[in-house]
Amino acid sequence: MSTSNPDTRASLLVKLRDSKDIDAWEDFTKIYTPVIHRAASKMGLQSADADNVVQEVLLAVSKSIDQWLNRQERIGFRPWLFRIARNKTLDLLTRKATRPFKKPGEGSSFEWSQVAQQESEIATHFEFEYQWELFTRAAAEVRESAAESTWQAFWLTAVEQQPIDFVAQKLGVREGMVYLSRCRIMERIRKLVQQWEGT
Amino acid sequence: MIQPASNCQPERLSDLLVGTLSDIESDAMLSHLESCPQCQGRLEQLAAQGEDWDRVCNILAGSNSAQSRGTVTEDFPRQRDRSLNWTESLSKKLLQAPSHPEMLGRIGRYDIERFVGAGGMGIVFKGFDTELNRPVAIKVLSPSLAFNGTARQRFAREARAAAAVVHEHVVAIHNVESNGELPFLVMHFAQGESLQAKLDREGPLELKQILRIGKQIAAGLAAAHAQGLVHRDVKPANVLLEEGIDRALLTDFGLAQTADDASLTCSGYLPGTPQYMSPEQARGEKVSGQSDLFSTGSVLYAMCTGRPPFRAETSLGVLQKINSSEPKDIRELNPDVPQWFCRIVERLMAKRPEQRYGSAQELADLLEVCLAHVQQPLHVPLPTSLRVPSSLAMFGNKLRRNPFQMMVGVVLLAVVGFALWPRVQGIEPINSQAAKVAPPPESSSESLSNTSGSSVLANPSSQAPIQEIVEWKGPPLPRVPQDDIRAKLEEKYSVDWQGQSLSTVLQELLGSADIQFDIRPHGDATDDNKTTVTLKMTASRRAILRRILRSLNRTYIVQEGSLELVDVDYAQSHPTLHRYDLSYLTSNSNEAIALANTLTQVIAPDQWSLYGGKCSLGLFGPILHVRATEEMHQQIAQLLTKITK
Repeated sequence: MSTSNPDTRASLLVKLRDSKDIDAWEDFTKIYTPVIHRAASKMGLQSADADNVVQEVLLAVSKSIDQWLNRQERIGFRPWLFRIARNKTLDLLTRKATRPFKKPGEGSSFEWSQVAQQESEIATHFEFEYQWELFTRAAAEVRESAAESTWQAFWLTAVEQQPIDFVAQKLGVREGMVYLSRCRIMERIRKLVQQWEGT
Repeated sequence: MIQPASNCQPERLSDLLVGTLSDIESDAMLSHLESCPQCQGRLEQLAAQGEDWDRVCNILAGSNSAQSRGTVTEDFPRQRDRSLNWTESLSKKLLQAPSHPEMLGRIGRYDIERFVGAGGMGIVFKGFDTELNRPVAIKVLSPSLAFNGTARQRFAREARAAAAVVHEHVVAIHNVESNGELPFLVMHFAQGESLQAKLDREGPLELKQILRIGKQIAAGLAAAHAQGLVHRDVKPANVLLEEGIDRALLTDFGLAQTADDASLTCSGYLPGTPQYMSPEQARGEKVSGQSDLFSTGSVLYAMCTGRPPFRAETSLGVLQKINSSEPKDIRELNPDVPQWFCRIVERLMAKRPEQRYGSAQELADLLEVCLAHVQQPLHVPLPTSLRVPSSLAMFGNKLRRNPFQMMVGVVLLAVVGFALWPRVQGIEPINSQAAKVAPPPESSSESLSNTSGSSVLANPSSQAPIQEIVEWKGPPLPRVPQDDIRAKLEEKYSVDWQGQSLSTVLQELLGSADIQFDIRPHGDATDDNKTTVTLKMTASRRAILRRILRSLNRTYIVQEGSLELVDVDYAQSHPTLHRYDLSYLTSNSNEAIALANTLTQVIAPDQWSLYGGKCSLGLFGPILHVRATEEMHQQIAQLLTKITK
């Protein structure tokens, strides 16, 4: 599903002017779309409804861009984008989650504590999905650009927790190279994530 | 220049990391690194904080399966490849080498004889328990799911739950192995065929057979329900008929969930064939045993007619029909089925769960008596409940259940009202203007004009908006003097418009305690124009409330039992989102996009906007997303209706 369609893009181009900001928007939709979708699905929404939540969030965010543009002191577009999207998503998901209310005969007082609990659950879901998307996406991108042996040194030792000497032998490189390779991969992943989030 | 290994140079580690050192220099650094745990740690710190390492590695370890395929997150649901077509040779790869040349392979202590089939979550083999010396059926969790912790848990839970049900009409579970690489469960092997296979081969069954099989399904379900277990996937393919003896076995509690353990099944996973689903299940709501009763009704229907009750080109179409239309009369398809039996099926297939039978046990008992009646008509009379003519009974039911609806004279709308309640979340614009303008569209339940007001998957009861656009012509509404309401509501509205007091007012106005609601400020904090009121009430009450609110001229109502109270100016300037199901027109997304483009040209682009990629592919077909004013939506609906005609 492409959420960054030509129309949105055109209007954003007019508004944002700076091509870096456009890139930021593209990165943002790429990362956020699946995150929202999955977080919504986890809450039990069906796929089409989850699609809808995605639309709502993206629309809400794109509408809010004016607010950002009109600010006296602007923070970077990226951090602003990710922050507001997070809030909008949680807000929307929470509203969806708290819609069904009591059964007949249960009185009319409403348990705010329950909402709070649900909210924190939703936030946890969302946070998990967000981190997941961010890091797996970054890892995939880094892997594309890295030499396979460099990637393997990282994957086998850091993720699969295999011993350094064993991996060095397997890859046919010296142990120091394994240390270095995995740190290089890690650094690139971290930097990519930072770049996306604008922090 | 070679650096001594003991010589730490922390400041040069960053050069090493970015690769600005010469070969000789980095070679020396690497030698040092190999012997210096301190520098190893420093280098790691340079690359990322310790917690980042943990986070990345945990996430990547968890995403192992996706990662190894080399593609990450192109499709949002992480396991899409479950539709893989399993064959014997392919499934063999899951097994250990056979101990015997005639066997396919081994898993655990079981010899696998042959591949039987593949279902939503797993692959079924016929095997042999070498220790207990008996044939068994073994269901192995699909490898694409075995990597997924949730699916593993679900699988283990399925097995545990189903193993707890011991009943002559439920396939017995002998053993569960959930620790291995591929979890599997071992079941009783039933020699025979599925009801589906029998229907495919023989078409409609005889009444006696229908009653016998139906009774057994109901009895098996009753046993499961007694354990708090809902089958969720009752269909002919999950009913096994044992060869030789006249016994039906309910199998594959594949999606069964214990009612109090809903968390794991909330992953948006939609089970395979929707043809036997209940309306509440089709809407993705939480289901109870009543849902199984609906499915059982559908199975009875299929046994009577040889075909499932709801059929359409797409799964989506099926879901929509389940929610909004009645199946074709059984007797039209098979005149041999007696009227009283049709009544049982009708009642089981009532759209509202509470209108069905009280329990699976009640159904089993009823079918038992019916069977006795059919076998010995002179000795056993038909149960009295089945002797009333059906139309009268239905009418009586409606009257009993919804006297209010009758009272306010919405009789003509009763059918619509029933189709409409209960509803699901979805976004629908209903504008006060619409009430005056549009006459109810004359259309069949499949026509696209109906989708004008309702999105599809989420909101399959497509007639909903029709009720919206019917102007009230009856006598004045009871107990609601309009000026009073206006004054009262205005007063409270402005004084305390986010608090509980509005609900009290509404309750007073509607004069009823059977409405529950809560009021929350609208989620968008920047938007003071809105407050969201969530209400739960009957369709007729909603109609009245709508009327009240309309008279206030400041409301904008969203369906689904929730209202958004919005200033009327705001509502008029605020375009609403619609999803139009295009799957009736085409299942091809390119065509759908072309259609969307045509629509944009017909309607002036500055008056509306399409967004979300214009067309997205929903679960079952292309969906057009349109944000536009109410007027535009009507134009679009008309256009789409034209196209369908």
